[in-house]
Amino acid sequence: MMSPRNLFITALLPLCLLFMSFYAKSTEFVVVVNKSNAINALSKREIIDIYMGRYLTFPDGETSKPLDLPAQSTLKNDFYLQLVNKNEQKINAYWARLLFSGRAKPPTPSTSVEDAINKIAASQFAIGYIPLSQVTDEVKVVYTFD
Amino acid sequence: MLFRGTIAIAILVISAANKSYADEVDVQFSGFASLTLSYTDDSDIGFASSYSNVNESGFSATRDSILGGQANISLAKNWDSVFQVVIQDHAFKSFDNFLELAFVRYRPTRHWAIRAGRLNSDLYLLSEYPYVGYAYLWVRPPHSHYSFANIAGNFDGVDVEYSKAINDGFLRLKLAYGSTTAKLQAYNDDFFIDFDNLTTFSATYSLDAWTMRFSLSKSDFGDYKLTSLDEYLAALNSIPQSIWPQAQKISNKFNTKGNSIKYAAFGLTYDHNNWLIQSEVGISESDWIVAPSVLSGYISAGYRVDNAIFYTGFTAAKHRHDVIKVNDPAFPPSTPEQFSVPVQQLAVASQSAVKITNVHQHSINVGVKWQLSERIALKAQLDRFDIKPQGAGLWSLSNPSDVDEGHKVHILSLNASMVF
Repeated sequence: MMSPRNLFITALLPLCLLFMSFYAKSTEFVVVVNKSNAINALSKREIIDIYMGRYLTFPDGETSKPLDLPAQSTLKNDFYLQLVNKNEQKINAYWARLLFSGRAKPPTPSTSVEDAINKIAASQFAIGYIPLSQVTDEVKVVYTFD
Repeated sequence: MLFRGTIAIAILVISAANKSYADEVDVQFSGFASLTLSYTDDSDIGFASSYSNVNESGFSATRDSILGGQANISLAKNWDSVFQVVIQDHAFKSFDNFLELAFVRYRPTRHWAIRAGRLNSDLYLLSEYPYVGYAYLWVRPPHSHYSFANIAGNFDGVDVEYSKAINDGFLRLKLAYGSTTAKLQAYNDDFFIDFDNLTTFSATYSLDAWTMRFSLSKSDFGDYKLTSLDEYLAALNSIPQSIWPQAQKISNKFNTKGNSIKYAAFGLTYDHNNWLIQSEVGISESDWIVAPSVLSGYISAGYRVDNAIFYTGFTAAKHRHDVIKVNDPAFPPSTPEQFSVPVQQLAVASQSAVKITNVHQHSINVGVKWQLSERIALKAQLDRFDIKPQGAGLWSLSNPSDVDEGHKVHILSLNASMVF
């Protein structure tokens, strides 16, 4: 007969991990811009180009000013894992390389999702990522993560 | 100086022509630092991570300690400027020698960028940010590969970059042209070397976990400043061809005039999940004997465990040409000693001199980088260098007559790297 310890290891632990993994992926992000922005849709590649400092403009040539959610938050870490499969630690080292080689500046940090929405609503150049559940009428969704 | 004039003119033009963007001017300050305590266990040979820095043996808190400050200035739409000052243990200390970046950049489209002023080279994978320890694995960039290249790590000139997304990857092509003066010290004497017509082409491609870079570079050596070298060349040039025919050839090898250096390099990084693997190879060909003609490279592998990454690596550099054999002068039987003895001493000194710049070394290292917080990483690293006889060109021998001896040197380094 299976001991309680073995039962936990063989049956319950994988279920817990599965649940945690499901939960970790459960944040559905959308990428949003100012409502006056002429861009109506972006591809994931175009979002990578902007958020990884490859291009400093939207595809139409207008200036882009990306915003980050607060450092060391689960939301920021999850976003970059979904975007480029890199955690925040790797992203920080990546941006140290770009910033101090003089190539580009990292996204501007915001203090909360609400702060990000307010900044995007106030600037025609801003772009940000927020949970789908917190989208408001103040911003325009240009990409939804699968 | 080109970079000062360029920046002054660009700022005036922008401020006059773009009044509508006056409210867009934005200045952001940032910085980085590496605080390092290191120990080398061979007092006969001094170590510096860069050819430009003070060589020391034993304990040192300054050898690999660095403080950098940067200002990013958005001037107008499509125009920006970057200034960066890096304080480190340079042998020659002047503001000009600590100024790493001071350029104005114009981006006419999202694919093109043109910079003018003091620029950083991207010859090697780490060449654009060799002093930002927070951004890479080790306490210092691999010594065999980066020590000499750092002396031309920045230059005054222009570069043009084209970048384009290709499928899922991203390509950057850059062409740069300019000049620089390496300001060093040799045996307590100022030693300046002009690099003229410095031309570099690089191609960098990144795709998912992979980044690769290929680069080519060429530079002419211009004037130099080193009193003892002037005296040495004058002595060689004064010797009659009939007595020591090789003297003129040795003089030409030590004189910068008409000589040049060429570089080619290839680097590859693989950064996926817990693995970080990086390798580079480089080859240089120099007509000037003081600058090494070497084949150099390294490979490093790191594995992440939680917030730590454990790493190990191997580096090597080897001179590509045999050491010049200095022939003995031949004196007619009646030559007075007051003439023959100094010439013979010059020949002996020349044999040491042609060996002392020779590079032949390899090393292994193990270390750990631990991410203490969002902006601070701690590192511990142990290096073991095996320097072959006549191969200490990247080091400083306390007694130059020891040039024929090999050395085994261990370096233990404790480091805190941060950005702010």
